[in-house]
Amino acid sequence: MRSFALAVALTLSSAVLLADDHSVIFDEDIDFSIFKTFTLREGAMRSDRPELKFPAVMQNLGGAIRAALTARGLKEAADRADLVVEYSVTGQDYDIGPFGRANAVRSGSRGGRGAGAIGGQVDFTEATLVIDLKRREPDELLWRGVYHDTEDQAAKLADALPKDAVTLLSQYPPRKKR
Amino acid sequence: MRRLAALGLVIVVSSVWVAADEMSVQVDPRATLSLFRTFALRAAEINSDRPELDNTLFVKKLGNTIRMALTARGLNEVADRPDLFVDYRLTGEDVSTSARGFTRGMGPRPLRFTQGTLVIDLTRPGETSAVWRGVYRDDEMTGSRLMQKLPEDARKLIARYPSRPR
Repeated sequence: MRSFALAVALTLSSAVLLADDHSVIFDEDIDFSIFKTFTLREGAMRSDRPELKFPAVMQNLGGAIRAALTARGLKEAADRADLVVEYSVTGQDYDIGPFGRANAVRSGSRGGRGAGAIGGQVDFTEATLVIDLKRREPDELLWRGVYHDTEDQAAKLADALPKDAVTLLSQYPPRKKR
Repeated sequence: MRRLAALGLVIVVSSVWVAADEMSVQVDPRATLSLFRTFALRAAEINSDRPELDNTLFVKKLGNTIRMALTARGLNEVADRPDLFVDYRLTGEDVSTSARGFTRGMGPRPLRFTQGTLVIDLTRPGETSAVWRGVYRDDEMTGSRLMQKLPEDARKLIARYPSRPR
């Protein structure tokens, strides 16, 4: 019984720490059915992790976004598209200090643990994926999806990001509130 | 069984602590709020690294909520010469700390949450000090939850503004 309780506690603890979180916000005054075409801008990766900086990661992510939008009824257009799609990924490493606190690991020279540890051990990595759909003219943000994905290995993040993008874009077009 | 019940209690207590909100309203004692009939939204400021909050869509959503809440209190929005300017700003901060383990002997566990502080000021034209200020401090476990809660928080603050008979 005791070991069962401990196992439950450990599972809950890591589940809370590694839980994903996503949200979508959009302009409620816009009729999204008028948009028929999109163009995909080059994605931006902000991470020092070699697993994430690998070019194929952004290519796969871009491919997933393209496929998801096409599945939602939009067509990709090279010129004068209705919507401009921008996406970025920001990676942040964390280590768990001796007092159980998660500290952001900064890149640079190696150092000790503690608040804002530099180059220390990495216990988990959080990637924040942002997908923006903008009106081309005027340049205006109409829809934003944000996915915070936390994994204990950066390589898992590289695999998860395309799925995260599909999850976000499954909420496009947004449903009108009644 | 008792151990499991204790574990459940710890989880409930820790989530209540994280979800604890704080709200306050201050009023200039020299101001007679019942004299103000009109308002105009003026400045919006978001200080947060969170992309859920730091965007024009969220600013608009928060502004619309404040607008509707003030209108429900009997004030009218006008474009020119309002009795009150409405300024609102949000400061978001991610907090990383630790909490007691779920069971005895487990050791501390990491706890991360995000805190948003929403300040709504109502100021007379030509003055720098607000006649009414509402502050809502909201701690949530996730950014998405904070994004959903903040408009509700704004509504709760404005609900403390005295209602004007129409």
